[in-house]
Amino acid sequence: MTNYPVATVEEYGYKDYRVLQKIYKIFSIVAVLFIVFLLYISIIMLAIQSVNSSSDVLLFDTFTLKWYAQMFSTRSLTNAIKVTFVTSIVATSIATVLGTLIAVGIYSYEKKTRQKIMLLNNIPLLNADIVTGISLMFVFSLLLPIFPYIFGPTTLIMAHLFFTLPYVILSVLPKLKETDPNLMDAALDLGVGPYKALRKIIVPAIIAGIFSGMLLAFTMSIDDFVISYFTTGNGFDNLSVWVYASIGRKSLNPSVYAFSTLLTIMTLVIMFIYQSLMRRGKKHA
Amino acid sequence: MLNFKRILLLLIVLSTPFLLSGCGAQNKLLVLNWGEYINEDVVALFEETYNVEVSISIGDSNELFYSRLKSGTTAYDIIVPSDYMIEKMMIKDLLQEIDFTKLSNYDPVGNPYLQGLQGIQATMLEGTEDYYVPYFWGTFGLMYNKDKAGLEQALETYQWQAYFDPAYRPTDTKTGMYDVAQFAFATAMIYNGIDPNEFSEDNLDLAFNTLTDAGFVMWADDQLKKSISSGSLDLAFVWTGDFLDMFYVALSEGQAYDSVSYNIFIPDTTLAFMDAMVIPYNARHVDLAHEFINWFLDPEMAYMNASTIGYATPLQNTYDMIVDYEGDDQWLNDWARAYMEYYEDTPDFTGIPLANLEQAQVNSLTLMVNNVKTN
Repeated sequence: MTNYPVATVEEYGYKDYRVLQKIYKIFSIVAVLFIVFLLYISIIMLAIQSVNSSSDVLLFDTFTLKWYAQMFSTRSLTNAIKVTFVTSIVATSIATVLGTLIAVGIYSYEKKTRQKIMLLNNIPLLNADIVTGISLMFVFSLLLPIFPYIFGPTTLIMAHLFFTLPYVILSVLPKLKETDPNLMDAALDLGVGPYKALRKIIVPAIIAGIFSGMLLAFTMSIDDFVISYFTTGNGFDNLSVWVYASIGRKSLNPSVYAFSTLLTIMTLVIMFIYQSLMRRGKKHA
Repeated sequence: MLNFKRILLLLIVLSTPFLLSGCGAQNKLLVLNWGEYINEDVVALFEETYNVEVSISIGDSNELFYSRLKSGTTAYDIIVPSDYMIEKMMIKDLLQEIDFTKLSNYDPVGNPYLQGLQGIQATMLEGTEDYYVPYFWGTFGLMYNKDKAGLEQALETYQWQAYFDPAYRPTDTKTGMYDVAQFAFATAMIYNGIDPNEFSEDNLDLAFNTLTDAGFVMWADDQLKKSISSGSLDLAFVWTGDFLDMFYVALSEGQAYDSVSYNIFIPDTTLAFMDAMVIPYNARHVDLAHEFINWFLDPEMAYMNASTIGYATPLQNTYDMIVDYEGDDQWLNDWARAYMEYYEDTPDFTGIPLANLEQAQVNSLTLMVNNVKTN
């Protein structure tokens, strides 16, 4: 027998990519990290600036938390923060309740009508903020002769309601579609009244959608500037309006950085809750 | 029956916001001011004394004040616009006259306005003085690097010439200009001895030549003072109040008055501004607004207010209180010295406020300045 040399895998055309693969892997990790870093660099800078004892942006002096404390001692800033939260919380809660009811109502229509109404619902979402803001201001100012003090909390909350409501409807409706269409009838057959059936049967079935809609509405409402700018008045300025007006002759009070950092963290937490709610909702379905 | 109930419910829901809007706002004094331009403690004292609430909104430009006033969504009781905007508002009939008999602290004899401020007032339209009470005023100056040998002497001897003509200042002096076309134009006019608000094609050419010959190495705004403090720039045109803000921060961080590496020189004739309180035509708390204005005419209150703001107080008595301080408090001594040096109370000083130019004029100024920059 002739002793043929044993063929190696390379001779069959195998190429060893293991080293290259490792390099690719490292490269992809580095690239992702780099992109994420670029995306978040502004937020990171803001966070760093909020603990910088010097108000000069180009100079990091020493670590301090004084801006966080000062946030609540500067009266106009504290006021703006309060207004922001009052507006967002009130508008979000009204939007959540109304939006859920409206979504249930829309769902009870047949498909064609539903689609038409959803189109109407989506228009405020897609419309440019500035158009919404100016048109709302115009509508509200028609009421000025009757209610001279209408600009302020009322108009601001109504305006926020105007653009948060569609978000709630939009996130509740898909949840309703997932429920059994006979659920309501079944509940009524078993002898509860329609309101009780809504409260005890329908709402628990779509609670994940309601919550996610609420969180979405809240994050939309808390950082709105354009619409708020046009619809507020009588000293009821929220934070974004206040910040915009502050950057005038003087440089910005670093407490704004502190609050922005807190707001970012809060938004992150809310988005995290939102995600986990969506995931839990999927598991149940 | 059910239908009746439904309609009633609907009505209640619809009317709630309006009922809600009725309460609250009525007994609030609505003020529209610049950001960080008032001492909140003074306001708190006012609120305590008169048992009212003062709500302060802020704006970042005179134009914003004007549009807020014009849109009428909020009936402000007090606005704090600058010189030219007061004239514009008065001409458009947006202001109401101030009733000086209601201002018990108004005392043009015992407590007159500072001379520098009176100079600014004299340049304003006749009749405007019935519509405002000065709140703060300020000047522009030439901020310079103290470490640059010979620059200080050059400025004191030649003033604007040292800024615009390289022959009158030490060689290699790096100069910078505020990046606002109207400021650049107006300073060039002052240097040439022309009214800074006189706009014409000839003046435009003259300004172009002056600005080109000046050889500015930097056109910026906030960055100017930072560059001077870090030593990369030697001389620039800045707001005196801006300089003082930075200077006060340096003092509060423990630097000695004379060891700060930069300083500002105020030429005898320079640009200046005045912010004053006015009462809009649609104000709803006119009496309270007068009380508020009166409050800031009180020398003690004006003193407290001036202690947190880098611009100059309008009142002689307050000025004296600041300048005449004799004691051991390091800050109050520094403050007195800064006031004496930078807001010197002398009849020799001429402050000229900027006029409100038409958009077309602003455009041609901007074009001119852009040509200077690209040359």
